[in-house]
Amino acid sequence: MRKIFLEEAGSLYQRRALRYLLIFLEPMTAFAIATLINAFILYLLRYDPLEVYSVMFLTGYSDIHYLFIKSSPYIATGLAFSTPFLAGIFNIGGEGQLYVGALTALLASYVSRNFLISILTGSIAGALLSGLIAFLRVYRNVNEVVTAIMLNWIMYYITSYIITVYIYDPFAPYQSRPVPREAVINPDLMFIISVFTALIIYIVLFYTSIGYMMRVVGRSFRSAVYSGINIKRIMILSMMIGGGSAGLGGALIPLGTSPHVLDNTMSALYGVGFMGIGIGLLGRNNPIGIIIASIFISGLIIGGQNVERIIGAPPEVVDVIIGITIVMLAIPYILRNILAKRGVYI
Amino acid sequence: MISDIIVVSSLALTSMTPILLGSVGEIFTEKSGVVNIGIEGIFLLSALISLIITFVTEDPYLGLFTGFLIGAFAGFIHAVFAVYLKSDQIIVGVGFNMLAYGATVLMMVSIWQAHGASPTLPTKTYVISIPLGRDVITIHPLSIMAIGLAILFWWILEKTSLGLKIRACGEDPKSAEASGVNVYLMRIIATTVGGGLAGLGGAFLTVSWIGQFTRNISAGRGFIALANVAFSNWNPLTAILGALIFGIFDVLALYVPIKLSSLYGIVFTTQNNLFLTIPYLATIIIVMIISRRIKMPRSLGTPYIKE
Amino acid sequence: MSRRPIIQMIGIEKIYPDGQYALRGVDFEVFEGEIHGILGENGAGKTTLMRILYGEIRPTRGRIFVRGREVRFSGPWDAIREGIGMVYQHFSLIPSFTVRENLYLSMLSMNKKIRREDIDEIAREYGEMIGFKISLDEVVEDLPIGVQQKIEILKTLMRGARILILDEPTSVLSPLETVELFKILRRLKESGYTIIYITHKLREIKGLTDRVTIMRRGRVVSVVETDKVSEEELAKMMIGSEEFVFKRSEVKRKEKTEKRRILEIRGVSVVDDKGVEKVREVYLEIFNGEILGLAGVQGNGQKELAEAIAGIKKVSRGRIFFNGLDITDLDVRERYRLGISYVPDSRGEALIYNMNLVENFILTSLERYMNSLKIIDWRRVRKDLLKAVERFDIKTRSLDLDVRFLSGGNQQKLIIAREFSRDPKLLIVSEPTHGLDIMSTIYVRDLLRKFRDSGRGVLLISSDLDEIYELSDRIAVINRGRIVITGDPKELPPEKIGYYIGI
Repeated sequence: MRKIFLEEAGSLYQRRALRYLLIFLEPMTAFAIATLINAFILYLLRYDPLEVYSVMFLTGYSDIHYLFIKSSPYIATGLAFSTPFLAGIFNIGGEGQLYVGALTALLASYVSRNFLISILTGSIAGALLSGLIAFLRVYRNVNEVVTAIMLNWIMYYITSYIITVYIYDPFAPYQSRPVPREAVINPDLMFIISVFTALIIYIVLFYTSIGYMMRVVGRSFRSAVYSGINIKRIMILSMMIGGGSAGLGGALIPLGTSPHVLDNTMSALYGVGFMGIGIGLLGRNNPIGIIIASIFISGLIIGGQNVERIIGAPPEVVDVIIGITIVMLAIPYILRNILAKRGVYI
Repeated sequence: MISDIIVVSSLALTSMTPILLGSVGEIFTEKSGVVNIGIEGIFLLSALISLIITFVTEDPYLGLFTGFLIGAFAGFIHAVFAVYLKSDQIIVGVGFNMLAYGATVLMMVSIWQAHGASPTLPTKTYVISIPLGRDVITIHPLSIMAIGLAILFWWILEKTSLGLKIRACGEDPKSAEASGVNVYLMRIIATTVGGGLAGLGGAFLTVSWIGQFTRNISAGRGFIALANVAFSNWNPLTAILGALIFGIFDVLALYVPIKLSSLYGIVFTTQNNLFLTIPYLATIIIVMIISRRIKMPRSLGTPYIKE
Repeated sequence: MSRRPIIQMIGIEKIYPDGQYALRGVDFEVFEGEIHGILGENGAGKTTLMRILYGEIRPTRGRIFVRGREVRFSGPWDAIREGIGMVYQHFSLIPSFTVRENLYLSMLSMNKKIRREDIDEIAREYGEMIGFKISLDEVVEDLPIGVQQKIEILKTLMRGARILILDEPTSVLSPLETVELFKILRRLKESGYTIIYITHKLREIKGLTDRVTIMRRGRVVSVVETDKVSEEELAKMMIGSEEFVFKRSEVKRKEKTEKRRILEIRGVSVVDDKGVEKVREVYLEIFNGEILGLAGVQGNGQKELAEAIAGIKKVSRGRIFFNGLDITDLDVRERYRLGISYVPDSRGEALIYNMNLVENFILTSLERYMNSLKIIDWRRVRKDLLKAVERFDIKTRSLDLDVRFLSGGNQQKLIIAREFSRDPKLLIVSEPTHGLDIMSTIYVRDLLRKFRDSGRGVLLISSDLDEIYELSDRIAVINRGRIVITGDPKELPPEKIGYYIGI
């Protein structure tokens, strides 16, 4: 037996096709296993898995337009996880960065009555919050996972506090006053902004020196030191790009989705940041992959809400599926390794 | 003032218990070279399932034991992914936390049709009550037991041959293997037992302390336990002190507004949220202060690959 | 010496799952009470064969007999039970544990009931036998390498080993420590122990062993009694090609027209992360058209010195001048841009294993390939890489392959290709041929000579004295962070260098 490399197989186009197929195949296998395990859990809890899945998959993807709109903030939080991840820093704080982005964008919209300024403010706030996490990691050696989770909770309570104490709607005190009409954005624009952000980050990651340095830092610390990359700066920068993206996602939610308010339990925001981790991993930490993964998972989430309406099982069933998918994706390149054992290298 | 201190510290003894159990479990796990950030998820799962068992059997001690088993099972699964499948241990933990959150809500809804909180238990575990002036101090025997467990696990790690083997796996698995230690087995044992301790802490939340399950009941305590591991410098004895400090801040989040309103007659309603940030802020600050001197196991989080 | 074979390995084959042959039918025999050498180049299969004997790797085919009885090992434990012990090239001691903890840990696998207190007694007993005394409360990582190795031997003996396998034990030792090691091994032989000694160093084979098995490319080439062959004959058997003869700096080279100083190091000290001073007040100069060979045992400050020149480590004292310019305060990238190039001893540092050739090619020359918007011109990178791949004869199936799939030799060539294509004025190169096969070694050494002949400077760091002599125009010896001697190789015979390395 000898080593077989993908490079030997067929024509250039066949090779590319094969490589892309494998890129898809791995996350999809993980997802398929997750749905099976979840089906078993549903069965134990006396739900009919077939019924749940048929509602989820059939209704989730029926309204393409809504699907795209729904996916917009998820693209942003997916990027928020993946950009720092490529530079070797784990951003589990997308949730808190999302809250702070939404809140500051909302506040900015009251003052500026301009959506662009609001979005920018939200982004910057997200970037600053994530920058703090990265700063503590880089200069004080504080584990970024712990800080990020703590900040998620802090931001949750602070946002809730500000909403209910300072900017509450006199007619509905548990929620904020709505975004001024001038600053409201068209839902379609939301999707365009997200995709545009993903493309920009794609170019930054794969075609610029900064992106190259980020990827070097993420893959090999030693090589980064050897080549003279300023690791601390790059890590903070990558984290701030991620946080900025999460802040953007947060800003889009009140600006682009009706009723254009935030409430004291963050119901429009809750979990969008965490889901970004699953999306980033499912999208193989590639901005283009993240767009696809976001659309895919948004369908599940819409389907999950319908499951609650029709069957009564809570929409958290999606969290179970994605949670298992993430666990499966943690196994390093399952298929690739199975193939490598058989002497096929890709 | 003195009664305040006594009340706060007795309450802190309660709120430190899950954090201490989680920390000691995590120290044991990490000493073998595996990092399990799924403590939060273990808290959630065992809190709920131990509650269900207690409801069904009306025996809270069986509930506690179930909590231990659930945690140990979760730890075992984590170990399989970490040890045999060489997975990224942080990602496994994140996924497990998400799974646990979703699964507990799913169970809560399917069993009680409740979306926010479960019904309350009629019988919790035994509590020692000591009257003190106008207040009654309550101490959970499990809190004392948790301190005992911390001492026990310190002893195991530092004084027994099992502890030596486990520490060897966390420091240098290759050399450990060459010295005749079964690295895979040690890591599986440590992660399973560590998960079990965390599971006990999760069960304590519902079966001993609060008496009901609420959505996301652990509220970041699993991660505070992780912070405490770093605070303790991987020493179970220091972890007792750390857990107590974190526990005090946990108590202050609720105690400060109550005290303020009773002293000055201010009624906090929506402002309460601001006080709730206290334990999280305190955690960040504490971790920031101690972060420089930490000495973690050298092979922490890296899979050991046998040839 | 008895002529009774204590170990017989018959028809051993090892094929790795990816189809690579490591051993192609090896017969191997060791007599009781002898010191038996295994000689071969890197990749000849010496270590694989011994790891099979030690039960670490299972052979694909073949039979093993110990004391005439057939054995089948499913792990080192079975081997240890048969009295076989292995002293690894990289020790299997846990650095942060004390000596006692380490010995206790390894004894536990032999005897579950043993107590920590028992260790002292056993350690003393075996220590006396080999003439070695140590406080058991010392933490291993604080001890010198030579002492760690003795602990490793002690540990193996305490486990009841009667047959000791040593894998390249002197690669990390100073000449003096080597002498001590040999004394211990001879003592063990006198006490009836059997020793298998793996090495690629001819001198050690001649100086120590009774018999030697010579291996090449997974096969045994010959088994001889050491007294009856010369070093040259051994070398021929090991390398296999008749036309290859050892040549030491025979390459002719034009006389330097003018002596220009490229690098000047003035009183540089470097402190490592733990606060230990690794380089102590070093003064060195490198001129154009010369290779300065820096000899020394690994871990004596070579790496820190190289990193200080490249700018990776900050100096705690002293200045560094490059072409007359004070570069002490410049960062790595600025130094690289000025024309300094550094090839470290570990390829995992110079290459990012899970990036492809194209991405690796710009690691140290990012600036050359980006425009004013900091966009990388990947097309130009590919064009240059393709040229380099042809010029340096790098064997790869595609430029898009992750470099971890390249062979060690091709990885080294890629690093050198990348660094040479930057057209540096000064090359710092550390252990450039470590782990390479003979053809790659010759190729890399030729490249270094050509580089020198084009009028540029090289700092060659190597723990291989043969390499130092073959390439250097001037030699400096580093010992515990200090340059202890510099001079012309003609005036510094190996014995003298050895002395300075070891003091």
